[in-house]
Amino acid sequence: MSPFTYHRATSTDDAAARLAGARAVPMGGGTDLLVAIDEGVVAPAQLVDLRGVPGADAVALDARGALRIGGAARVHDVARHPAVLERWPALAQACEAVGSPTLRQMGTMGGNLCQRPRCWYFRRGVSCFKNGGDECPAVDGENQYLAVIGGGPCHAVHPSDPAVALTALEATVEITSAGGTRTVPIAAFFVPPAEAPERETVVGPGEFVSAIGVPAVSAGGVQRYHKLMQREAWDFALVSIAAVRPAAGGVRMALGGVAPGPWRVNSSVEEDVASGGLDDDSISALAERALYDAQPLSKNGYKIEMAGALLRQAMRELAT
Amino acid sequence: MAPRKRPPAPARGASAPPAPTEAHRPPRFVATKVEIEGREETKIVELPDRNPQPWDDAAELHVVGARVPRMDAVEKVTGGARYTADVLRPGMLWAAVVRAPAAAGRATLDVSAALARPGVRGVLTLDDVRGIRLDGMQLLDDAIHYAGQPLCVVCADHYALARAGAAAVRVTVEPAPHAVNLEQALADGAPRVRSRGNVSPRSPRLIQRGDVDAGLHDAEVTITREYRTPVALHSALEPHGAVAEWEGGRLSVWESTQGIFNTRSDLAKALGLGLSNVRVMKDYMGGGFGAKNGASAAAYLAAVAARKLGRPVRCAWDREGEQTDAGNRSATVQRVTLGAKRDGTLTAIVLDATIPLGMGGWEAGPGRIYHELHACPNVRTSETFVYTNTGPMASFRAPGHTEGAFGLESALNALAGELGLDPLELRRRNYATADQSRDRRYSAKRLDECYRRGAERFGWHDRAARRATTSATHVRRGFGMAACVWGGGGGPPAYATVRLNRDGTADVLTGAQDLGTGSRTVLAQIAAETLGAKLADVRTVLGDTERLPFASNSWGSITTASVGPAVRAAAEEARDRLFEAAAAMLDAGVTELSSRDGVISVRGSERTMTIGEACNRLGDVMIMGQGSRGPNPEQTTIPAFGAHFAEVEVDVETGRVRVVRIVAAHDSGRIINPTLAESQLEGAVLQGLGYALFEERVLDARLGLPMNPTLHDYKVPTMADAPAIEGFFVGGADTVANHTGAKGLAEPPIIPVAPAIAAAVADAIGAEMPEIPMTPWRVLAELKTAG
Ligand SMILES: Cc1cc2nc3c(=O)[nH]c(=O)nc-3n(C[C@H](O)[C@H](O)[C@H](O)COP(=O)(O)OP(=O)(O)OC[C@H]3O[C@@H](n4cnc5c(N)ncnc54)[C@H](O)[C@@H]3O)c2cc1C
Repeated sequence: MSPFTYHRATSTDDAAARLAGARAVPMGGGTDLLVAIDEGVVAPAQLVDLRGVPGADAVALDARGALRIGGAARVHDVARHPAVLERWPALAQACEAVGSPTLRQMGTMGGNLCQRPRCWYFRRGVSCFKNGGDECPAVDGENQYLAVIGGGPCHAVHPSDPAVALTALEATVEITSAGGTRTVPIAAFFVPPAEAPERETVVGPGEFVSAIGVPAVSAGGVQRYHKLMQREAWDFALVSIAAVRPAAGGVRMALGGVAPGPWRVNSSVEEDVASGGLDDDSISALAERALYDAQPLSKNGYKIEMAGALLRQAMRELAT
Repeated sequence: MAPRKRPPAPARGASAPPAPTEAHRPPRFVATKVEIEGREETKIVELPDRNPQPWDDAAELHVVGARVPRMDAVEKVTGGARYTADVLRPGMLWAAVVRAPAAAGRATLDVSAALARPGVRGVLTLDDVRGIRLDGMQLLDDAIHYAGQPLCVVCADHYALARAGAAAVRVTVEPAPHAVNLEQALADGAPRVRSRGNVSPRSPRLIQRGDVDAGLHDAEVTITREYRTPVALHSALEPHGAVAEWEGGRLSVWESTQGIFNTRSDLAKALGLGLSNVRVMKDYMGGGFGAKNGASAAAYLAAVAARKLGRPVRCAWDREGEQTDAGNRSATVQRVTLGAKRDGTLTAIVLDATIPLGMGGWEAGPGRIYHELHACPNVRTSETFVYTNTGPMASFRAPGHTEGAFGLESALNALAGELGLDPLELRRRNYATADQSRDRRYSAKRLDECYRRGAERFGWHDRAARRATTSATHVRRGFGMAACVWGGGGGPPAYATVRLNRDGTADVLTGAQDLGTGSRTVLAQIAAETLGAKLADVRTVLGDTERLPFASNSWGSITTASVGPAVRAAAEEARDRLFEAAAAMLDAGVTELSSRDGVISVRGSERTMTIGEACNRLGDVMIMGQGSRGPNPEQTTIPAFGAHFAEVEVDVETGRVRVVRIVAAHDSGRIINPTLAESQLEGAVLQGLGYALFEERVLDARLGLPMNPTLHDYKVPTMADAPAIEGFFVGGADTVANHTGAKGLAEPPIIPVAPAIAAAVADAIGAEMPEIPMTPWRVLAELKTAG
């Protein structure tokens, strides 16, 4: 563990200024960051705690009915927020599915989106694409929890539950730095490993997630988040699914646990589900189509079956 | 107002027994058999002077058998209880361990950068501990035997500084090929794990009775199956750790241990000290489960570092150390063949097992339960123990039997399927009424009652009707059962002293330890019952080799049955003395007195006084009793039994198993405290459920490294995974076993859990489960094979 300084930012500008410093990283609840430092996975020189920034922990509706979640909003507060529960229940359910009560109380939404993958090899400091190496030791190793789709050369999956729901809800992520603020759709927030295996998101040095926006058009209707774990609690998703048919129409589905980032289901499949009138056979066929590109590693083929089961369940739920 | 003191009258009617002549004196020291962790040992016992009347089922008991809460519950939940990790000594240094980053090879260390770091006071390397060996391995060896092996220790003013120092130690490894699993260790040209070879010199261990070839020949139905069990980790909440402090040539050690006296001998021997110059203490403990049976590496390192650096030293494993270098339950591969008649009568049981031991540890082995649990004239087990470049095995809650039961009971359930017999009926038809493996009687056996009452409570016989009641079409319900046997007799030596204080409070002194099981409470109950004292007035003092009489390790489920009788004898002696004093005060005969709830009363009269009044009148006269554990009955096996019934739901689309309900019926003789005993059942069911569904140490075979040595990645069950657990005890006192009638109960209930759950899963999905843990991918794979 390398030594670091700690600064509790007092304003967005203060945070941005501090983060411009050498090897400075943002900190939310520290539930992932501090452990990763302790394990020697990351070695920042400065921690900039965002929780003291006024308004950074707010969860609020704007005039047009869109949701704005501060980057330092606690996962628990999003899970229990009345407007989220009522209008974007898939997000509330996904937040409620995170880890344990203590983690939800401590963890922030920005930190949740930017948490590092749990791949054993990466976390245990075995040389791999994520930590400067040039091979993925998991391919011939213990890959039971890794990606079955969209992986390579790194096969780690992103562990966030909320990100899966936010993907189905077509959220946007607001990224701030000393140079200003940009907003990216969540689909462009996660970086495929083929592009940059050493990182997971577009958040660059000096930047931080200042807010997450969820559009009003994603609200209401039928919304579900299902998470399959090995045990009943305090576990990352083996496979999860966020499935929504918002009041405004359309169907959107995203899978977690199967790919390096949240995996948005092919739009042609979504359209077929939206058009309705599906019987069991067509549901099964659609689920297979959604997973057509899946290519399991030696020990994770079961995830395709699990994903198929979740897709079928979600399609049935969206149909009713 | 307390009455004025007056000296007690001399005891009435007490006349010394005639002194036996040398020639007639019966031997005072005799040999007796004690079963510990599945192994029988011969112990010398000094015959006690006092042999209390057995508490049989008719005995009128008030405190023993009562559901009193754990006496230290408040301290534990409020943080008041002091564990080894809470011990802070003036000037104490903190140690951090540098561990091997590879599974094999030779390490070269450069500690200069570590020594230059702020707050670092010194390091220990191989030269400081030469000659100290654990599990046959030199401590801090530069030859690497497994990943996570301690290589060096850095001591500093604080833990953070010690860790920073440890990180600054430069470790260079000259790599060597490793063998971390059976396949690698048994391959042609495999690297040598131990100099003697990769197979233990005692392997294969063959145990047989009868003639299995004839038995198989006579069989009308034969089945053969192969079962696999994983390496499981104890994952005790409190890791291994010790604090050591020297005063001149005397060493004091606080250690999280299941055996203070064993730890003392280990340390004294390694450091060349007399036993009286080593004091080992342990008050509260956060679990051991069998992995803390003597001086740990942490204790040796703390003691040597404290001597070298002239300051007290604390050395404790971190969680990764605990999950890689603190023992484990060995994996097994069990190839089982059963032969039976069409009516279910077993004609042969054959086991061929291979067990990767890690670098060492003792050879518990899955074989024994095959000889013990069911009646069968022809049994042969062969066990081959293989060394691998992984941390050594350590006994883990019913070692051997837990692994063995998965094979044996699963095979029995498969046989029941083959025969079209109810698995419970199959067991009843093969009911063993005596210990066939040692050819002698049981002190008592009420497994039949466990079968009957367990089945009744569970609704075993109307399970077919409940099968269809699931929440969704892809969720299947299933039912399964399994049984267990485990040595529960305990035995000598164990000593206790009971001391009455001036105010009538009593101290029970015995060098046993409470691992969190509740021994402190149970022993106090036995003393309170015997003294007729209020339980609140009795305090049990445990865990100090300097101040307390000997009691053995708390292992093998032996504490209550070993120490309990010694406490009872001591309390009885103290009570008799007290009555002698009180008789004069109450103007009554000693035999007219009785005591209950802190009050001494005279039979047929209104005269009473409290124990406190009597003691107070005696002033500083100290009423004291000594007691010891007598021998076990000759030619007798003293087991505990149990039967579990499991109900599960399996999602056949996702492979997820949910255990809905476990009924656990056990026979452990008299239950001193049903609440604590049931909590042992519940704990064991949860631990067994983890073994059945989630827990598995994962190593990367190519790298030889542990992948999941954290409490998040090594998946112990959470509360949300807990099924409805209905644990209860059948029968009553086993007065053949010992005069309290109590037997061991902490280990047996883990034994049947995994096979009962596996049987229920098999019942639900129509495919047998040959391997645990039953992860979703294994369940899906079996479903696929079954078509
Ligand atoms: C045992 C365990 C189990 C868990 N289980 C789950 C689970 O089931 N589902 C799930 O979704 N998550 C799970 N988590 C992850 C947990 O939810 C995250 O650790 C938490 O949400 C991260 O939030 P934090 O505020 O503590 O982040 P921190 O630990 O403070 O930061 C995490 C990372 O994000 C960066 N960061 C923090 N804030 C920002 C920001 N605003 N902008 C940019 N980067 C930022 C940090 O630099 C760091 O790299 C689990 C974590 C643990 C330790």
